[in-house]
Amino acid sequence: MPWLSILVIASMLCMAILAPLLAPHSPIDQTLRDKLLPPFWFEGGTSKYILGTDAFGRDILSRLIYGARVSLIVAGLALTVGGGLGLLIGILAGYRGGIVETILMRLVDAAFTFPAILFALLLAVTMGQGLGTLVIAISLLLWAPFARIIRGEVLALKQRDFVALAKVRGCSEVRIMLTHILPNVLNTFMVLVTLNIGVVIIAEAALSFLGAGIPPPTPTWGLMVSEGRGRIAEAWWVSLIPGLAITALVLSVNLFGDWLRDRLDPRLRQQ
Amino acid sequence: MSNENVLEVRDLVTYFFLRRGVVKAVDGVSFDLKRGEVLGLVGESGCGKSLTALSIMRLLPKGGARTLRGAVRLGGENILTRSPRQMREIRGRRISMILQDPQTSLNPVFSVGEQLREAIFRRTRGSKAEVMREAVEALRRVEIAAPDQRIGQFPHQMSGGMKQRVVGAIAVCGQPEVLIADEPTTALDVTIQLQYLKLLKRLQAETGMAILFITHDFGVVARMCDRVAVMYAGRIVECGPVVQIFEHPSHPYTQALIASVPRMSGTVGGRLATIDGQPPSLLDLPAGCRFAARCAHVQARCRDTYPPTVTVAGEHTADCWRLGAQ
Amino acid sequence: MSPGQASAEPLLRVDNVSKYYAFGKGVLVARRLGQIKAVDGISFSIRPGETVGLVGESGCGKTTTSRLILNLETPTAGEVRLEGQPIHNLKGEALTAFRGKVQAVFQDPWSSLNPRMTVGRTIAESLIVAGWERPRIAARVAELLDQVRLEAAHAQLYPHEFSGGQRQRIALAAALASRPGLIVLDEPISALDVSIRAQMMNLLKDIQTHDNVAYLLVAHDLATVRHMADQTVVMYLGKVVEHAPTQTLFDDVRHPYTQALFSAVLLARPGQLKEEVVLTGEIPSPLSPPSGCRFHTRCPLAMPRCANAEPPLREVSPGHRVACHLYEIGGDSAVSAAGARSVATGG
Repeated sequence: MPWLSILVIASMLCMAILAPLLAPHSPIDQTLRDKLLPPFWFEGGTSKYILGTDAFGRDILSRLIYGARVSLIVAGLALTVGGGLGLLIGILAGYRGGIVETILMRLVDAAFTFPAILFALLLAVTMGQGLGTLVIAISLLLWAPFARIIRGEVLALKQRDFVALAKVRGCSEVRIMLTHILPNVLNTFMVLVTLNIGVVIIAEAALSFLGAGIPPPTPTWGLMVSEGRGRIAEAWWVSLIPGLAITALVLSVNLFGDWLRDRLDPRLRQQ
Repeated sequence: MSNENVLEVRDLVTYFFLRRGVVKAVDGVSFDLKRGEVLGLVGESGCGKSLTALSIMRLLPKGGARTLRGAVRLGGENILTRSPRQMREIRGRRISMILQDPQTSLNPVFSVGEQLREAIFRRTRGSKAEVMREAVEALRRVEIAAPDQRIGQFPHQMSGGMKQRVVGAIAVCGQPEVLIADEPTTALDVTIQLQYLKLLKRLQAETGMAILFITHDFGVVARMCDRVAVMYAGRIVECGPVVQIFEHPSHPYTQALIASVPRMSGTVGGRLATIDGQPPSLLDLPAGCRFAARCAHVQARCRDTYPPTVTVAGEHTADCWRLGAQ
Repeated sequence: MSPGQASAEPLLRVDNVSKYYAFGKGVLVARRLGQIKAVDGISFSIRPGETVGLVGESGCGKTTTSRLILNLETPTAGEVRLEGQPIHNLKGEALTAFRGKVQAVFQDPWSSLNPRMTVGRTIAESLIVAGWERPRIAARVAELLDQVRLEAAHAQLYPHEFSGGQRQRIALAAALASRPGLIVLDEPISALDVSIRAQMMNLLKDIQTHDNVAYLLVAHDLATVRHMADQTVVMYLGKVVEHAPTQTLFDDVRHPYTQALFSAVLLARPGQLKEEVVLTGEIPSPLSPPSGCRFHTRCPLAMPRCANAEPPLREVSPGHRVACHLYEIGGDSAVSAAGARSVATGG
């Protein structure tokens, strides 16, 4: 059991859910008097702002706690929408084959060559900044790799005798896809989801960093890194602390994903 | 046939150490292989026959398999105590192996000629031209038509039967004293299977090597072997000359196994004799005879103590309490 | 179930069926390079409650034939009829009804069960599709498990908890659920251990006696076919080369290929080894089968005409059909049939 990664993920979830209770300060109220204070254990730090403050005198800990909310909501939505779309397309392309597969997989190829960041910026310009834009942009980044991996899995599954037998038993194509294909790729899907949470959070950070994400002053981890970059030399903590949070979450989720993959294999579970 | 043993295996014990427990895959196996004979090692999947072969070759799979006890004497010297370096010298020159699946035995990115030449060069250290000549000759010996052209081909350009011939050519090019063939024809079509068995017989007659022939198929044994050892749940339960075993099987397992195979003579149809149940788990072997739970003649002591090896007649031995009483 | 029931109406009729696969190369526009004649004009029929054995080596088309009969493939030419009804244009309810009547058990017990589905659910599949109610399904599943000698409690378990032999029996129970008239058994025992095979063969026979179900037994092992089948069909490179009631065929083998197959059967007794017909050469690729008789490249008795003219399947004795130039009764063949046979068997 990867206790450490579960602990990290669980505490970040708690942070996101209980943000108003946990945060010692408001995440957006500015106290310019207290700007750029270092964490309390450094010279000049104060226990009032445990992790210090940013250039506007906002409490970094509170922003981190509220930022977890946005980051996790974005991750959840983008993975549901983008991952779900990829799952659907992967199953359809892999199982149906023929012209359906050719068209869908060419779309996937196209999506891979597409400059997703550029598209996200374009989207931000036309639709305006916000959660919706962010989710759509990240979903468009996600679906293609999901579709490609799931399709590969389905192609292998389709060769298994139980799929041909399901047809012999009288199952319709939809039924075969739902009861025979889907449950057998769900493992892979879950692992892809966990492995991609990291991608999503980094993408959210990158888009927020570029100004195509959630508009300030709402805190997101990516935005926090971006805001601190101008003063990285004198106030490194403004960028580094949310950066460390991203690293910790992504690493934990990846470790958890690895463990989950082994765990979900019924043959490995036996031993 | 000389009576000299080229290979002697004594009380060989190889276990798998897994998290779930100890899998007693080879649990006290002893047999002799005489110069120039074919000894069949017969059993079902999971009985330990392949692991016996790998223990002899000292090519145990990574991940918990270990030979704990026993001796494997090749020409009198125990090769279990040789260093890995000495073992590499022995493999290919004194003992070779053919595996079941020709698909995985050959490296797909090298031509068959390169793979064969490497094996020959390792032994002869000859010049390029000499090695090439010998490689073509090796292919001709395994009855591959147009060997000069075939030698440049890659495994995927060949049929399964032809690939298995190449594997055979590589295995015998070092003129080994012992060839271990692990189900070499199981993956082949029946008419191709027959060709391959004939080829192995011919190669054996030419070189005088001894073959340990591992199979699950009594039909192959009938055609190929001089003697046969029947393995069940990690032990050899019966051993003897082929005709003797087929006509007077003494261990209840061998008897049941031979009776359960459909015949090619007599009237068609009818019911087959069956062996009920499953082989025991190698993780949790019974204290006594391993076949006791499925045996039609089981007695109380069969369950408590493993039976002694009893000589039935001449070279024919079997592990069964019933025989001891007679 | 004896082959003597010749008057019975056939359950299934395979009528001059061919299946060609085109293969090509190209990314956007596939260029057709040729076609593989996987099955080329075969005919046979299966009567209710009997077993027909289909024997041959890889590439002979036996698997394609079984897939055509299961309506998993559509023939290029010819027709398969079940109870007089062509099967390949069925749609909707008629197709569902057909699915209930023709079932299958495949070779690999590790691949034929969905690992994410309980055994009970797998067995019930055809009944769920047919719209049975829950209590009836549960009762039928328990009955089926009993029939294949498993316990009712096994319905709750997942496939990985069973051995190969048990899995194959679960697959059989699933095939039996809808009370089909025909089950295609594609190498049902060759993946099983020797000591388990006899159990499975006996079980198949018991079920046939009990349910009067017909089997198409696809196998490469003649001894199994001899033991199980009432009629035997021998295929080579997409063609039927010999077809007869099993006892007749095994008493009087005619086609040189069948004779070679007989030789290749590794006899169960070391003393029984007879003169054998060992074929030379490889099985030709079905991509470019030899001209004339497809077997002539490997045939020990090939004559000049075998390379040019394809021998038709003709009856040499009642119910015994052979496709070979050696057996042209009253034909211009220089070799008489009897003479050829003595040559072929090495007598």
